[in-house]
Amino acid sequence: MKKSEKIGLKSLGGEKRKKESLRILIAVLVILVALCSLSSVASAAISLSCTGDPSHSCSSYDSVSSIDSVSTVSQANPGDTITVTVDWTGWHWGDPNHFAFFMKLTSGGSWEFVDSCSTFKSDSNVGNHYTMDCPITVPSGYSGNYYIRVTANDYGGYCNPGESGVDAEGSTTIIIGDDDLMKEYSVTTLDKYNYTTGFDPAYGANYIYPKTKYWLQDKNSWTKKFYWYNSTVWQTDFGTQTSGYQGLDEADYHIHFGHGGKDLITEEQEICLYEWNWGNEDHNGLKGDVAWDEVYNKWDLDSEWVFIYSCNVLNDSIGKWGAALNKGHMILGFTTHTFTNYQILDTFYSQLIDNDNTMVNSYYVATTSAFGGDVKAAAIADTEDQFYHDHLWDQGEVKQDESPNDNIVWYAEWSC
Amino acid sequence: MKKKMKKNKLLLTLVVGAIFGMIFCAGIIYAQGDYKENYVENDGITRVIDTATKNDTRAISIKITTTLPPEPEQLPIYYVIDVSVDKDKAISIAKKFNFDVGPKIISYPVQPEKALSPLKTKYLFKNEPCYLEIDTSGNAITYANKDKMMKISDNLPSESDAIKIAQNFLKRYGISINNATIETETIYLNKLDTSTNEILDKQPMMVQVRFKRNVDGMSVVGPGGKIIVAIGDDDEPVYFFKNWRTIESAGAADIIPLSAAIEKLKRLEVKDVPVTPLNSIEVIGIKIGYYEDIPSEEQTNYKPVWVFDVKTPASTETIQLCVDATI
Repeated sequence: MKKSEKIGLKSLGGEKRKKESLRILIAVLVILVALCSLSSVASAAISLSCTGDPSHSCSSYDSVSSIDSVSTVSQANPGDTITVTVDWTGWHWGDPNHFAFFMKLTSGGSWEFVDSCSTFKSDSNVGNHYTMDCPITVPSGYSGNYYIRVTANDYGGYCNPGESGVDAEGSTTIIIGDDDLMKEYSVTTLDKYNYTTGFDPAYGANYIYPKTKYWLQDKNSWTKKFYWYNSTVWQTDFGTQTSGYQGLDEADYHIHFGHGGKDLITEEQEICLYEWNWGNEDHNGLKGDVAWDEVYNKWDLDSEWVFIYSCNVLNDSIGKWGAALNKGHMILGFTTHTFTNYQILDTFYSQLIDNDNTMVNSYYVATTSAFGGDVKAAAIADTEDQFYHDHLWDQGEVKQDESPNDNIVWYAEWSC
Repeated sequence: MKKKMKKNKLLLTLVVGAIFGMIFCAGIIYAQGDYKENYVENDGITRVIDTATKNDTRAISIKITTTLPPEPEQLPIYYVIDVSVDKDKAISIAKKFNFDVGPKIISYPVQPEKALSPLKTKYLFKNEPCYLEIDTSGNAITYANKDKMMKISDNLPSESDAIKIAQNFLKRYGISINNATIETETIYLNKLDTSTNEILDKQPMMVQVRFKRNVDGMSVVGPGGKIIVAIGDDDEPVYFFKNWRTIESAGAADIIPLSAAIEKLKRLEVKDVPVTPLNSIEVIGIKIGYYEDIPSEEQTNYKPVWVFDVKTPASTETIQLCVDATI
């Protein structure tokens, strides 16, 4: 080996060590930076209460350097008190800061003042990170997709959005009303049963589903949430669960066709599923039955109108089934037997869509023109307003969900 | 060589079999096309049809606990003479009801899933908040005041007065009805406490007067053969529905024996199928009547039906089931 080569090797070893030292240095620096940022995050976690109701007076003093994030629930109803969480950076330096909350439709319009509050904490560091939970009551009459905007001001009162003097602003969005603003329908039909007579030719699969799809989806751009039939219809499709899959409560309108009958053991009127067996089925099984106690108070998500096309389900059970309407609007059904009929849905949907008739009027017209006087139909609404005024989405007024939920329903029953 | 040929034959048979098998499977999948979309995953749960599905056409066990009626050999039958309504006729009817604008033609497919499905049509006349619909197939008429029907009324007539108001309404529009049974019913909006099942309040909304048709002293069953006039506030007719076809004599037809009708009932060959389990039924009444169909059906004649009043274990009231009585 030549000398020069040896030196080269030596110098190479020195560079290696240098590089290693550099790496260690960088690692230490990274750890230090991480620790620093962690400590700064920890400072952002200082919680603050926002109370009081200051007046509007937008000052030129600044104390809030930024509103870092605004967040709240995705959906709420008018009258609900929601928590809006605001994270911000700044200080108070001897006097309170003032925050105000405004809302406007995402589609346009002007900011409407909703609520305001002020904060105070003795501090002297301009870079404090604060988080505060602010209770805001959603005004009545609001419905749709909204922005919530927060403004901050240092001295004397709050500022309007965009006003000269505002320290900082931040926004989030919220859907007001229970609805997710999608027109969704779902269908369940049973033409076959394991232990009892079915429908041959299939009526649910050949009439109920195609007609619902035609009028709502093909003609009016509704979206199908699900269609299950025969043994694929499960109890959970009726919104029996309070979390996870919510079945019909995930769609605005649901229609179910299939046998309804009296459980000979419990004496309750039930929706008969595939394994229904006169009461001998497993009440808690997926495919046995759906009874009122399984949906009691549970329709509180997206459901508005549920049409139960089955015999007798509402017979002496209007209050029991009506109690399912937590935030749901209406149940349409029968208190007596009913029959297969090849006109009822065309009439019902045409009344709703072509005539812009209300849900109750449309159901009245559809049932009185479809059946003889031996059939009795009933419409149960959660509120009196919904009974009179609810239309299908985009065909007229839809009244607000009941909030808070009470034990009162409004119903009418008539011979067809 | 022979062995090789045998092998080839076996291979050929297997290939042909496989092709046939694939075609068969494809056929089955195609035949089930209507249901295919039910397998779409919409909640992350796989659901499979129970392939052990029992027969759909079970025989119903029947117990007869009524005296058997006489069995006529023949009964009159009728032609329907107003099978369809054209636009001009619809306009002239609408004018009688003071609707001068329109109509808007509403058409919808009988079987929307089929591209070449026949269409049903109705004429819609609007004069907000009122409207009039005339079905082209059955000459059925619907009139409604959307703002006033199914609303609480402060000044409703009595049920007996409502009959007179309804009869005057029909007379005013030249609708003559002979031989009808009249039924009345006041429709209420009830305020119900679901926790106690107590009706807290009850407000009248409309008095419904129903004219139910009789032909040759026999009642007309089914969705048709009726007129409804609902009277609202201040004696105002707020809803009117007529499904009452004009008929004329078409001679007589042979009537099937009651035993044959009961066999049809056992096989559930009924005009309208009840949406309740029917494994066993008790027949508590038997009679003969006529059947009138839904408005959108082009019913060309009026024929007798055997009408059975039945009770089932799963329902509390009597259900009327009817089967064709003519051969």
